[in-house]
Amino acid sequence: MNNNHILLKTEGLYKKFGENVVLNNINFELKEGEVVSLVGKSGAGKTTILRCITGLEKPSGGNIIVDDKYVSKFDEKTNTVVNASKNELHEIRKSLGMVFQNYHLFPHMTVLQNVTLALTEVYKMSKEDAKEKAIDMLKSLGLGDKTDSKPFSLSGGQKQRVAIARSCVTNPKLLCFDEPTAALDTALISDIIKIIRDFAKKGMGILIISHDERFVRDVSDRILLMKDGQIVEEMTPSDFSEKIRS
Amino acid sequence: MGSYFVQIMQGFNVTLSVFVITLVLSLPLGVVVAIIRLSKICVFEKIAELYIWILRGTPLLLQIIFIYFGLPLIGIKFDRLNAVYFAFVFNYAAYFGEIFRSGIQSIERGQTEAANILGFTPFQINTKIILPQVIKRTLPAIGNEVITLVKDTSLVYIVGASEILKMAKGIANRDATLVPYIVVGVIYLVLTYVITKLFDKIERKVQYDE
Repeated sequence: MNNNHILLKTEGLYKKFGENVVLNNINFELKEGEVVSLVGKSGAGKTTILRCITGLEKPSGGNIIVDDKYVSKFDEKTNTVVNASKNELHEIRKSLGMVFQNYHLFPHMTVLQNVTLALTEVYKMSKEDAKEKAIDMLKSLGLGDKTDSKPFSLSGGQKQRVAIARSCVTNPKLLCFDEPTAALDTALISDIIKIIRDFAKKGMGILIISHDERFVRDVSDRILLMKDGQIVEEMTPSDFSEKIRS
Repeated sequence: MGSYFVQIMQGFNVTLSVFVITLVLSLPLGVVVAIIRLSKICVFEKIAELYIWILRGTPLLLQIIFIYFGLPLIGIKFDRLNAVYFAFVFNYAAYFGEIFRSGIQSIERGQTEAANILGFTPFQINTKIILPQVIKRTLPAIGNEVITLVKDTSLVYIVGASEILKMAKGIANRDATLVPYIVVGVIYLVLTYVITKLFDKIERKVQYDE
């Protein structure tokens, strides 16, 4: 595997809501097998970046490239942003996974159905193959005994792992996490660090949004500090460690 | 009393057909009303709002009278049962439309967003993820409307159609007895009991904790 392949690139990413500029000239890259965290206070624009990358929000300017495909591209001739068409976005999203802060599991389905639905509906896999693949994924995350449970009956940490299984079962190249430690206690945080590092070892690119400094320090390869819609500093975990201690 | 029951049940066909036809047509029409009401196209949204306001804001009895006795004055004629079906279907579609709208709006946006990123098509999202949750959340309110519908079928008397209450009233007048009123009351109670139990059963089937 070529470990230098760039999975995600933003160039001059710019976003405003009305007159309010929330992202201003965001430039960064994320390579295969790399864990990058965006840190910063609430309102710094972290979540908006994730929403733009995943196509949930349309940027006002700049380029976003995921796995060599444009999610949005600024056309200088017309001075407008051209967003991926529905079909293009559908293809791009096959390379993308997203674990939401509130997980957004489907409450009317069992854990297993939550994980198999995309395999059978989007990837047209047979029910048996999908089930086998989902069970393997759930087992690897320690949820082998929860396949028939409904999301309601799970703890916060278990729900998160179901959400991770649901996103990862389709083998995305880039996995995004929005505040993954917000609802977890210390022991569960070290579990999630291990899970994320394992995924990265297999070549997955991981983008994390968090304001949990210790978690970010322990999980990331690179840390980008955001302030008022801009990336103001890029740090290694040890730089970051120094910074939070001082 | 048995003979009263048999005589009253001669009106059961009308009661049942108004009930069934209204339900079968107004439920899907209600989904359409909800979708139009939630469409981001302002004109359609306003039209749906106006429709709901008029149909919910005036008595069903007036709507039946308007269609059966009023419209012929400008040359639009219906036979009596068709007039009734029209009024009932459009009236109930307005109520169901509002129930479905509130149900759809109650599903958090994150469900759709998560499904979008997983690569589902809008059709798959609506049928596999949103609809089952909307059904679960709206079922109690729909059950209420269905029970109201059972009782509203009695309004059909105004056009002279012979449903069970009209039959009972005729017998009571003829024989100077209140027994037919009791019999017809029991028939309504049995009908609403069956429907209540049926909805309980469906609710249990689609139940999940959130």
